[in-house]
Amino acid sequence: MVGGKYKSRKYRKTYRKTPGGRCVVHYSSRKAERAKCFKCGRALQGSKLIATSHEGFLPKTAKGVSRIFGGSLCGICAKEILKTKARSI
Amino acid sequence: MIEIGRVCVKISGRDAGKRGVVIDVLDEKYVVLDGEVRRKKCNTQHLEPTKTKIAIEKDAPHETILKEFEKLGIKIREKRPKKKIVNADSKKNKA
Repeated sequence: MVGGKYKSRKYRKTYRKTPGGRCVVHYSSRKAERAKCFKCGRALQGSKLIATSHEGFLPKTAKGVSRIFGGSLCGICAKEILKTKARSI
Repeated sequence: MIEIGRVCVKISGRDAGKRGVVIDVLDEKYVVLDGEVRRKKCNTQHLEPTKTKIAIEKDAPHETILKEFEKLGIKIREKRPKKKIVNADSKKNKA
């Protein structure tokens, strides 16, 4: 039986065949990634390189810049949205 | 399009999405804004002009701009002044 921390989905599981013919499970930590713009997919400015399982524990300042749409849109996409909004006023 | 009295929307920076009015035109590149944004020099490439124009003078004070913005239906939240923290136990206040 594995330890409790390996039962959660925090770790990636890979199945490996040993030379003796047994099948064992290898546990490895997930890849760290930056938060991405939901419109174009570019990495966000001001976001830290960290695994998604730890994302909730970060301070507010590490998740993006202090602009409007700072934590969800990149600067170029935010500019386009604000321009179209300003022209409709 | 960009002249004194023109209402603009800031596109970039921490004031992005907020409206301001042009008070002064410094040169081809820079203007001075006031309104919802901080009263500050601003690059014209970071602005998007709107159709509305206000009749104000050059370098108009902040109070007149507040009144003009109220007519347009834009409420401006003013910052509260900082409270002074008085320490009653300190020697200066006892004497």
